[in-house]
Amino acid sequence: MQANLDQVEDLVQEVLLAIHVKRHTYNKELPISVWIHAISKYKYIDFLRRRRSFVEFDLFDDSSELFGQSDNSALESKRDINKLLLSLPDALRIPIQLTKLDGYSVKEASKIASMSESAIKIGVHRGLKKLSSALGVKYEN
Amino acid sequence: MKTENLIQMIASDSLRDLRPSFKSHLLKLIFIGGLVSFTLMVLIFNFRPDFFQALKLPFFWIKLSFPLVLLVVAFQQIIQLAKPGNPKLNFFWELIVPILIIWTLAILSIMSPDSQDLERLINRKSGQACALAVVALSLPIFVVILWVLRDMASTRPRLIGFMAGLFSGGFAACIFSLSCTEMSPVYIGIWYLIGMLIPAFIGALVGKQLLKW
Repeated sequence: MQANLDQVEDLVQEVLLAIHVKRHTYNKELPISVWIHAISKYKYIDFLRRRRSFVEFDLFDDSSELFGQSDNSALESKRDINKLLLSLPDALRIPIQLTKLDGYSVKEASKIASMSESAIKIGVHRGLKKLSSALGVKYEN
Repeated sequence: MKTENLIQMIASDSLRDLRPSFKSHLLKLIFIGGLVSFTLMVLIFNFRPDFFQALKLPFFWIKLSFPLVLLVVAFQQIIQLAKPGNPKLNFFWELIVPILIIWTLAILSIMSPDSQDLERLINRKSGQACALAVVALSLPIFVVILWVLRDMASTRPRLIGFMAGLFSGGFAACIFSLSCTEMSPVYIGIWYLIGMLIPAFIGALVGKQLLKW
């Protein structure tokens, strides 16, 4: 276990250094977490190749605590979500903001935004689809 | 070293970054590399003797636009792949369709009643020299692109190496088409394609080593 922790620390340092040295490769149109995640993944795969250990631990497993434990991950994702949302037109952004982030029901949201209920539903659906394609993932509903 | 120390070290480093934007920097250097290739073409092969009459022929433009399309697709891929986290851009059909179009034209020209015999259309001897010329002319552009990309951080070094090779091959094929007098789509679909794919595969081979970070 101690050996593993050392390896993890090595990897973390490599990633930190890569983020610093390659900071000019950050594409300002993208959320910063996407960029950092891509760098970490690349360095992690590189690390596994060098060690030739493919099963010992999988940091990018969904159940992994690595990214979950970050103190400011909630803050980062909030920042990223806001940035992404701003890229949407009002008709799509407002429904998502009200129903998905502020926690209103579709009915309440339609009153607040003075849009019909179906417009809210369609807005959420289309907006999420657009967001996921902007992030390069497939939106499934 | 302790991670805390590393962070302090990084934090105390100057944040100023005087690098020009990636795209404009890349375009500038491609222009220089392209100029070198162009000069080499003029010096070694020269323009085709009937250059100005050829400008009126449709097949002259087909020959020019085939590598041009592949070059544009490869350029978009290079831009997209050079920075971590960019969404993937499809390229399969964008590369396959132009090739299929040129092959369709080739088959049509073979089947047309006034077609020359196939041996002459393929023209193996001149074709091999042509493919080789394209590979040679692609080198200055290829080197320049790899030079710029080494400073970037592609998470797909092999693929971006392939695209860099394809781009330089496409560029070189455009330049060489100003000199080469062959215009049959059969010839273009074989030898020009080979001439562009060779640098592309070299790119994929060396990319893994040269473009890792």
